[in-house]
Amino acid sequence: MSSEKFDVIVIGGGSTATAIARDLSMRGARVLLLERHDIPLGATGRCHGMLHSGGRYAVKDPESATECAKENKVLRRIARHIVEPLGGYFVSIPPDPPEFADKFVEGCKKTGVEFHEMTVEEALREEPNLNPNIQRVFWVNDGAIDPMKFAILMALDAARNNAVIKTHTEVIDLLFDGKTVEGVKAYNHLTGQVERYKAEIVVNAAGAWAGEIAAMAGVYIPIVPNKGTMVVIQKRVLNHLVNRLRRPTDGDIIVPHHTTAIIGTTSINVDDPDKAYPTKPEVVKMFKAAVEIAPIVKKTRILRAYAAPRPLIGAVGVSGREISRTFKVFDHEETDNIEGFVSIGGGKMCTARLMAEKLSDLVARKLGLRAPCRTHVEPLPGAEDEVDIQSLARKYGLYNSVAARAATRWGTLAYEFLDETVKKPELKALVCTCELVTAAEIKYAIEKTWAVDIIDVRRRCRTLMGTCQGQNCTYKVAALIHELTGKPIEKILDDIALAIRYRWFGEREVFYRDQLRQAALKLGIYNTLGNLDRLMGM
Amino acid sequence: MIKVETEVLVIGRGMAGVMAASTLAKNGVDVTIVAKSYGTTALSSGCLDILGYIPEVQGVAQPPFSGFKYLVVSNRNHPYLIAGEGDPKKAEDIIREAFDSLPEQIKNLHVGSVENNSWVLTSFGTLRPTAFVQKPLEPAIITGEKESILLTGIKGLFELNPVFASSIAMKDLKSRSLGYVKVKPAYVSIRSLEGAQYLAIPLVSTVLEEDEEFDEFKKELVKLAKRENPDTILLPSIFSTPNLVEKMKELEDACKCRIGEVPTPPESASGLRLQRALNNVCSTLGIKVFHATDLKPEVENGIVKRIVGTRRTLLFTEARKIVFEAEKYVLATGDLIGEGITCDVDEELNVAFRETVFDLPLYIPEGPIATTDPFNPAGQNFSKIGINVNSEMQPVDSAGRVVYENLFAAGSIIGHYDYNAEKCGMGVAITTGYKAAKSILSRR
Ligand SMILES: Cc1cc2nc3c(=O)[nH]c(=O)nc-3n(C[C@H](O)[C@H](O)[C@H](O)COP(=O)(O)OP(=O)(O)OC[C@H]3O[C@@H](n4cnc5c(N)ncnc54)[C@H](O)[C@@H]3O)c2cc1C
Ligand SMILES: Cc1cc2nc3c(=O)[nH]c(=O)nc-3n(C[C@H](O)[C@H](O)[C@H](O)COP(=O)(O)OP(=O)(O)OC[C@H]3O[C@@H](n4cnc5c(N)ncnc54)[C@H](O)[C@@H]3O)c2cc1C
Repeated sequence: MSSEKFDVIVIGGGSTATAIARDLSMRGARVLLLERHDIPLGATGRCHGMLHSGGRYAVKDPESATECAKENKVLRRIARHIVEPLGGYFVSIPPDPPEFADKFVEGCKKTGVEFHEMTVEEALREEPNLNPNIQRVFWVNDGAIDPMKFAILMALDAARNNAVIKTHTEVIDLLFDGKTVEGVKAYNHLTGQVERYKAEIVVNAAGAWAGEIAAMAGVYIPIVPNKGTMVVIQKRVLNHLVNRLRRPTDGDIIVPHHTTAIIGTTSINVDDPDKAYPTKPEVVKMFKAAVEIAPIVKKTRILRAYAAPRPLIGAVGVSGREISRTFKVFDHEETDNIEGFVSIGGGKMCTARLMAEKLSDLVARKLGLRAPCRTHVEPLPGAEDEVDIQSLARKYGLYNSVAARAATRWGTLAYEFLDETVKKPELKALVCTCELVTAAEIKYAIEKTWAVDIIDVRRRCRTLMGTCQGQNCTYKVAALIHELTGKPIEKILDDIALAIRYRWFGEREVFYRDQLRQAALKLGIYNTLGNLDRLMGM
Repeated sequence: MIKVETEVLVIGRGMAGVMAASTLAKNGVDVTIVAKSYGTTALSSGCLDILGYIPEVQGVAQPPFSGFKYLVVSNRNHPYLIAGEGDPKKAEDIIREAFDSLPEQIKNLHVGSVENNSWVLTSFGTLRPTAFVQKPLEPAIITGEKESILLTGIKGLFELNPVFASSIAMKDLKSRSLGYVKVKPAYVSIRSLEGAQYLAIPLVSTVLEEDEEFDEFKKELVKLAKRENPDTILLPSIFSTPNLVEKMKELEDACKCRIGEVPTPPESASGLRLQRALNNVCSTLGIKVFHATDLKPEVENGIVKRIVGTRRTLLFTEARKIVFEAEKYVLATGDLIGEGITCDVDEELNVAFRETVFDLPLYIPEGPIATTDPFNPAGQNFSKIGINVNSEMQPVDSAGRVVYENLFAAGSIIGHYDYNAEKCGMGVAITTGYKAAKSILSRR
């Protein structure tokens, strides 16, 4: 048993849990965060990455719309380096119901969502790839945000405020003293050990898995795991986020993201959040819907499909689209007479900070902490200053494109890892030429941000996420992990197998044209040349 | 419009196309090649595999032909067996004959034997079975004798990470009771590439072509050899040109140990060397090679009359039509990678495979085109997609009828096998290329 006693244990490592760890540690609490896999592995790591303006919920879900509209402004400030402030369009394409536009205007006004109508000509000038049949267009303040980096930076900030972040550590039970939760029992996947930790308060922020954690305390919270499937295409295609001007349905958003665009999304209640897989019919639906918005998608290469479980709060039997996207804090002392245990569910990735503030207010009260919430004023690591690409490139002798990618992924933190290249120039070499990732960046991800395997590095650096889907970089990243950390080679081989298999799973749904050709080459490299099928497959 | 008349037109300039063309040219046939680009051959590691594994069977095929007794049971349509008219003994003979008939430039580039699979150490640190390796890769063959190998990476060139690869190598060797073969990691740097961002093998090669750079590199290697005193130094496959291969001897003399390359992912020197050697074969034998795209056949009465293509001599010049008229045609356009086959989709994302020149009927295995496991040792259905041929290497339809009387095929455009799973890519290309040529010769 660890002898150290924490003020708070936060269970989970998504946007919600990391935001809570950041908030409470900034208020002076001693925090331990436990995530069973990697920090943004749940819904956060696989969501759409929309920095919502609130427009999407203005009609059906005013509470959530208001929250989004507020947080949008905050994140543009505190996370500016990972936000792409693109702006969004809501477009109506026949047969979208014309009367929805009026409801949209009304909803935006009521909820404080910024918007204005544009002429169709104006919109087509800005977005030549849009369907020329659009009837009406509204501009809103949507943006894109890197959701994985968002969670990691919040964890990094928490760590800077003395929080302890433990990944690959799964909570398997709660520890009780009578009716009071006094800690957790956790399985450490890296060491194979069962560990125990104690704290004044245990916070259940396990997203779609929160119901399972609550059950460990014998209480029920109405979390409905709800699956969304998304499709990634090779080009950004559009300059803005584009939504359909109708009630949210399957495949009505395209979000440009880093070097790609993401088409989303479905909404299907599922029993087991760990079994949220994309299916071919969903992919087809998404593809057709995206072609309707931007016909160019028809010719654009699809890289892969993936799915994630939303932690919606609702009742069993209600369709996912009908459930509000707002959040709820559960004080189990009040509702279930169990002390030292609070849960949170619902919400969005982009409202995580607000969710954390509400929950932390409650926890701070219980702990007697007086310090006010500062999460909306303090910048996240890397957002302290604007990065000048030209001078970054010049300082370290990089191509502008390489410097630009590093800065969009890390902001001013790029200076930290590029500093190492002064002594070790070989760290400037690119490990991934799709997303322009230097070895220095990967080293930083491993040494400073809790990445222990290839997939962890992917979430931080976008390796494996580009056009070749890990063909050229998977083994290179694996090799760096082995070289830098001495991780045993058997484990490294397992990592390679897992990373390639995981990519394959999403690629398989879209095996045609160049993506199938790429797969053929990938097998040539790993199996014909490397003979890895015989090493791993038997 | 340009018009090219030739006795045989070969489409594709990879291993299969050049094997067919050179066999014909050596027998006095007037041959022309047309291709739109380079294919898989140039991306390969240039080893000539015959047969490493049978998908359903554990363990390596040693010697390669020992696998045929399984092949006749598991896959009667394998191109080797088709070439041997269904008889494994005949298949062996035709493979031996084909490898015997390899053009001199290709023979001189390689060492090995059709009767034996050697284990060659790769840039992943794994061992893979193959029948022939290029001479610069010979030191990477693990013979089973006691030796100390210094696996040496170039700083910043991540295609070979020596620390990673030697860990895998030691694990792999131990599992084969060869733990007494020692593989140790080391690094050298190439001075003018320090801090380079796009460090790729062609760039390394270009830099090493400069004498001053090469001498620096040599000095570093000598230092390393003095310190570690290895039997063998293995580097990534970086010696792209004949001049550099020549200079490897100079390195050996200076380091007083063997210097070799390991097979390395594309673009590696060994793949480029093989493709260059194939190009040389063509020029030596007087085979004209044309570059053209959008090839469209014209057929009459079950006979291919001519093929019309598009050609640009320079990037900005106008595209011109080029017409090839031949008595016989050989289709050697490769698979999905070489683009002898493409896969398109309709609005519902239903896939449709197509042979790109003649729209020939394709063999498409039943079931999903890919399994859920990329490391499935049984391979993937999409790799097995290709055309059907008869024992004369003539494309046939599903009923076995010859599609065009004067059309033959060779290489990975042929279906019913998976070279990733079987490790047999070049062997099939060489054998079927040879057999296609023989069929044409027998019809003269
Ligand atoms: C398809 C889709 C698209 C979306 N698009 C957007 C969008 O564009 N913008 C937006 O703002 N929101 C979006 N969302 C919603 C958003 O992703 C989620 O609301 C948010 O990410 C939830 O974060 P979370 O931290 O609560 O849950 P999660 O991110 O799921 O985190 C829960 C974590 O808990 C961990 N965990 C589970 N059990 C245990 C245990 N026993 N011990 C330790 N750890 C455990 C999990 O591994 C997981 O990492 C989308 C959701 C989906 C599904
Ligand atoms: C990474 C990798 C490593 C490999 N390593 C090895 C190895 O070490 N040993 C081994 O034995 N095998 C290896 N293989 C397999 C081997 O490379 C192939 O089986 C072999 O090269 C196939 O040769 P080919 O001549 O049939 O096709 P290709 O080499 O692909 O040639 C096809 C030719 O046809 C042309 N072409 C295609 N379509 C058209 C068209 N429509 N019009 C005009 N021209 C066209 C192409 O441009 C090209 O010139 C490897 C494969 C890969 C992917």
